[in-house]
Amino acid sequence: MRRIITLAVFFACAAPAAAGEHASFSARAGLDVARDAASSWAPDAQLVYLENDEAVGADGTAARWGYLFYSVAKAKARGYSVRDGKVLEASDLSFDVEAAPLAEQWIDSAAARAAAEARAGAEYCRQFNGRLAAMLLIRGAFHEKKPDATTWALVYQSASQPPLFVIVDASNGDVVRTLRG
Amino acid sequence: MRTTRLLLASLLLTARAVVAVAQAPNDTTSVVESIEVKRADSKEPKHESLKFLKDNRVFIRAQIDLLRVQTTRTQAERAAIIDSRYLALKEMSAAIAAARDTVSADSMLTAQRRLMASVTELGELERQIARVEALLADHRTRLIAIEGDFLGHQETALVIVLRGFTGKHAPTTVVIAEEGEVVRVELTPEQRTSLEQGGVAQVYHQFVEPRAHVFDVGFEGEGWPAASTLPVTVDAVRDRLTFLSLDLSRLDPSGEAMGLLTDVWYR
Repeated sequence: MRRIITLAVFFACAAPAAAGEHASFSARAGLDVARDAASSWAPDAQLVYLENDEAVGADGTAARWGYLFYSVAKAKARGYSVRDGKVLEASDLSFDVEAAPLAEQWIDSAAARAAAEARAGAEYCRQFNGRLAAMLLIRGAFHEKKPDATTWALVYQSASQPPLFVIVDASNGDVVRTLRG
Repeated sequence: MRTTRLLLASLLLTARAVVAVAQAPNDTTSVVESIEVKRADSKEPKHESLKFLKDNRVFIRAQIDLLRVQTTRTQAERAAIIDSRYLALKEMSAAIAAARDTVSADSMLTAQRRLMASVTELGELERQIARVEALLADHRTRLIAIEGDFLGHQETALVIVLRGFTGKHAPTTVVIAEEGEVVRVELTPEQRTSLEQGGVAQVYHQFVEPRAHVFDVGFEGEGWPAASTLPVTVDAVRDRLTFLSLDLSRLDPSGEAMGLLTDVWYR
């Protein structure tokens, strides 16, 4: 996982999102809307990835979340950006991602953020004037010991330090690893 | 689209004799896939989404490539739980059949009693009427129960209907396109005649994503320029049946200002 160190670090994520008057919600709260849309696109569509499309608040909610579904039948992935209980954007992914479907049971973004903050996130932010830049849910990519696990990855960044990754097991909220890269 | 079912129906609207047409079930629907190479659309989305994934796609794909997905299928033979509402439907069907028998028997008796014409039997006749009324009330209760069970299960779907061809040639083909998905609806001579006499044609009925859709609607046939399409925007509401009516009564096929009238309603 040292390759994380070489990641292009999505500094654009650092730009504060202009949520405006839009209501914030947890990642799971927008899932039904996205899933309904995806099932219209492809009956076999399965959720394979999600991330915040606008800044995540201290309570783990955001005004917009992005959900990525994959259809085996179509061999395509399609993303849905949900805001205010509606699909704001729907577009095919321009590159191939054959990720495994996420597990049905996963802790919501609020619990994931709380777990990450308690373990290392809050300390990182306090010490280096950092902030949470992104949080994403994926299966298999970040948990070396349990590749079948669906995990939250919370990415903190600071202007003076390399970013901090906190990986949270989405089945139980345990922080399984932290790494700087 | 989850369903490719395409229904065509022409409905009688005018007092003139117009034959209603309903057809195009699944077995007559054909799908032709064509491939055309185009430059990738470089326009940026209005609202950027999945930015981390896109910025770090090489890394994430590399991590996914390290994984192996093993699919295990386990089939267990055991009794399945049946939705109690289906059992209730069966009971209702039985009750309806029994009620029908009762009504039939009452009808036969009534016919016999016409011959008797006895004042003393009027009371019995009233009781029969009361019984039929009670049966009707039971039917009403069952219908309410069915509504309670099955309403609210509507999935997001869109129906497009056409009207307003009176006084002009109806097209032979209606083309509805959105993001590379093209639906071509061929109209039969009977359907065109119906449309030209004021009928309404349902040309599209599919499950759609609950979002704003922009369709390019085009018409082919005598008097319809091949290249012209009309952009039509409709906001499909989640878990509702969205009806989009396209009224072409003020549309001039040969003119530049198309004048398409649209109407949207929901169920």
